[in-house]
Amino acid sequence: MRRLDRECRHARRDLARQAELNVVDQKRLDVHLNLCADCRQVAEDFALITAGPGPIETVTENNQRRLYNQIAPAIYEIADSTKKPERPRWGRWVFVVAVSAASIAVGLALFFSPAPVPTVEGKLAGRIPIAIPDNIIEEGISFHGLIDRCEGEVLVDGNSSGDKRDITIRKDTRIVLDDGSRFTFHVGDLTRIALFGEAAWHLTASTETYLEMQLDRGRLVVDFDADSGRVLKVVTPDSIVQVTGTLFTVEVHPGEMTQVGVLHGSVEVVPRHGSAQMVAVSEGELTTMPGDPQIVPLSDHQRMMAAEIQMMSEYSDENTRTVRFDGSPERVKVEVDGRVLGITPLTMRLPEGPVSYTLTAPGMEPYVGVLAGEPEEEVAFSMRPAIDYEPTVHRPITAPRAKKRARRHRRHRAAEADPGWDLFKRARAAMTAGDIPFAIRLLEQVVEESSGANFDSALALLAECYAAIGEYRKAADSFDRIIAMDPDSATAQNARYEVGRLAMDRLNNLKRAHKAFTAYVESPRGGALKEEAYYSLCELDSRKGALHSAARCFDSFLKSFPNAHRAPDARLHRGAFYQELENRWSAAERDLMAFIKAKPRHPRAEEARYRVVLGRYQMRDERGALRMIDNYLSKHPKGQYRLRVRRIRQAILNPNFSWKNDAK
Amino acid sequence: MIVRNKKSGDDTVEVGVLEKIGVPVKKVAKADRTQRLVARCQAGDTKAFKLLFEQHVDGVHRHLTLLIGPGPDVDDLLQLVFLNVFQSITRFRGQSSFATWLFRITANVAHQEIRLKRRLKRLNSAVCDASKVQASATESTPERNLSTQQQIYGVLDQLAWKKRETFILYTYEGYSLDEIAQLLGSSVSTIGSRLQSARREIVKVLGGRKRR
Repeated sequence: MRRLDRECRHARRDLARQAELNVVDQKRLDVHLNLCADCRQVAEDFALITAGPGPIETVTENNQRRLYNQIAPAIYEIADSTKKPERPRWGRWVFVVAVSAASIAVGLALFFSPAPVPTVEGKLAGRIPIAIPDNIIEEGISFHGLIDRCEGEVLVDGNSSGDKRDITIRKDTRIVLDDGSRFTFHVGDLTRIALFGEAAWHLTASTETYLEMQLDRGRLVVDFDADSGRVLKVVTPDSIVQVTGTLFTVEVHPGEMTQVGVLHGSVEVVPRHGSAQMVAVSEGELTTMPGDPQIVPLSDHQRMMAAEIQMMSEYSDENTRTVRFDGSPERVKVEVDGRVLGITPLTMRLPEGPVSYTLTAPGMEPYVGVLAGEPEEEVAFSMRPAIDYEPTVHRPITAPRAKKRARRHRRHRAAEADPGWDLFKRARAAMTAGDIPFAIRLLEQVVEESSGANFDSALALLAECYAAIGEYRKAADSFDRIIAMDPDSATAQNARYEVGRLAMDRLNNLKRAHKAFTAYVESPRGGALKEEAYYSLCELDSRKGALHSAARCFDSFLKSFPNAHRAPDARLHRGAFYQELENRWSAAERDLMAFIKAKPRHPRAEEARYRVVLGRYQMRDERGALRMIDNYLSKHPKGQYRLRVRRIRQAILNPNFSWKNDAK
Repeated sequence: MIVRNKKSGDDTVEVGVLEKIGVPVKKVAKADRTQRLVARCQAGDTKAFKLLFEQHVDGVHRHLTLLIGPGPDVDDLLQLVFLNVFQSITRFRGQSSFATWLFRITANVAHQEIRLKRRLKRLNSAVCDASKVQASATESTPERNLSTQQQIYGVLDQLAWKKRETFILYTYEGYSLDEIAQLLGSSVSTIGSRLQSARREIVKVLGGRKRR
């Protein structure tokens, strides 16, 4: 046994230096391998390892483009940050003058000897080898699409599409938008189109393999699916944009220019006039036509435009329904699950299942509701003024019934006896009808003449009218008068909250807001808005820059209202403060993760995820940080913290990484 | 490949086909072209960097794949390599060829990845139940079957980085000892002894598996 071990040991040593063995040693090894099954197996395994992992696939052109496009934004940012101001050099100027002279000479030569100008079709012919029979283009193919969002006034072939759920796009279908409107729809194979800002769009040709649309004015975002097998062309007054699969924006300013920005993939832009060359625009780039086509990095404006369409594409068709928001007043802000969706009148595609929505308008009480999940739903709302009036003075304008009249409170009788009562009723009717200035005139008269029981109600209504027309200071003063008149009443308590909100949101008078909210919270009367007032106090501290105080305030808020509606937001704030002020990384992570869990699609969830990454990196939890980095990058591939997150990943992967060098 | 080795011929653009049919072709050294691109990149020209990327992406991809084994991580690391290249290209002084410099960056990135993976493996084994780790290890790496790439890299993972790198360059990429010495900045004898040591360790690992 021992002898065999020694032989095996020799054989394995020889195996490792097999190429250098002489004939005798090689023979001895072969003999041993024939006898020893274990060593033979080792030799076979070793041969497999030295044979290598086999052929390695080369990077395909598409994959190459994808890999480069993913790092392109970072490359641009690095290039921008490292560019130095260039010193003027004589040689450079001489070169510029020479080039200019040559250009003028060439231009003159072209002018005096008219050569056939290459047509756009000629240029495109080699690039899009798709035969388009004329008869098909003339007849066109209709595309049935679904409307994702219709906000404001949108005319499709002259008809309003405000309450429609779907859309049929055929050749010469024309869509016109009013200023401030937005229209997002998708046709066929997930090709999404969003139009904004006084846009005029129509489909000029449509076949199974080819789609051509014209944008005369306004802004357009297209998310075109490469797998649909079609070729898409967007024609503007200045250029033709052709694409086979990408996400891009087109902005037409009639008579001035057309801007084309690309967020994903690449497009080719061909000028419609002149003999300028085609420009290839890649991801993260922007070009302007007409004029000398230059490529510049994409601005935030285009990214915001594209966000519109990306948001819509989160909902797949199978699990969506259409909801229309319309009611009184108009132009009300609609938020669903914490995300602002638009301004009414609004038709919107939303995910199935119950979702909560909030409608807000200046001077109006927020309207909160839950959508049950019907396939087609309409929210017809009527918002109330921002003050929760005492029911004792809220009376219907119509005459009450006899039974109720018998049980009427003594105060009501006093109110009816007041000569200002009629004026008050008329003012309320005027306000309901929307004639705010007239209502104000009447209410000022009531306040001046009356000293009776409905004085506080008139003042509250007056304040609300002031707020509705933007007279926030007068509104706050009116609320203060209510408080001064009867500090212990419920109306005064509501007035305190309103003063706080007005001072904080409108007047930017943080001291006054602080005083009002503190009075509300400390008042023994309590109220439904105590939680909001407390949270606002903490926000005030934060805004004032008293960060330690704000941190303590949020902490105390969470202890007092652990299950409050505002608790996740408070956790986000507290987590951020823990990180920035006290370096309490694990406590911060608990708060931030609670926020992410409660509101995964909240606009600040991205910041929370970034902070978790940062915290884990600081705690040396590299594995956890890498996991969170992957989570962040998958959720926010274009997020504002993506570069920082990538640098953290780089720092984890590369111990020699220097933040100092990388800071540029 | 990034650096011309004994298998890939001379250092000029291949224009033999055009010459054969009588087209006069001016030979442009690839090194010159790369130098010009590097100079433009150093001035912040992103288009030049794109060209550089296209020129070297295949080589870097192949080298990374051989160093860490095929898998989804290769693309990420490839991007990291080129980001590092663009970030630090102003520090490239041209003392070595660009390809050698790129090779070093690629190798460093691969090394960091391997170290990270090892650290994660240690963490995993520390966190998870030891018996489960043992069970999963035996399930995922059957002793007898070394045909898959994963198992080849399972054995190579047991080697120290320098030995692993030398073994891969010599055995899989076909470099000579001189070339490897030049690339890694070591003497030929050091590279030779590393290679021998790597082979011995591989045989030892295989023999150890057999005994278990």
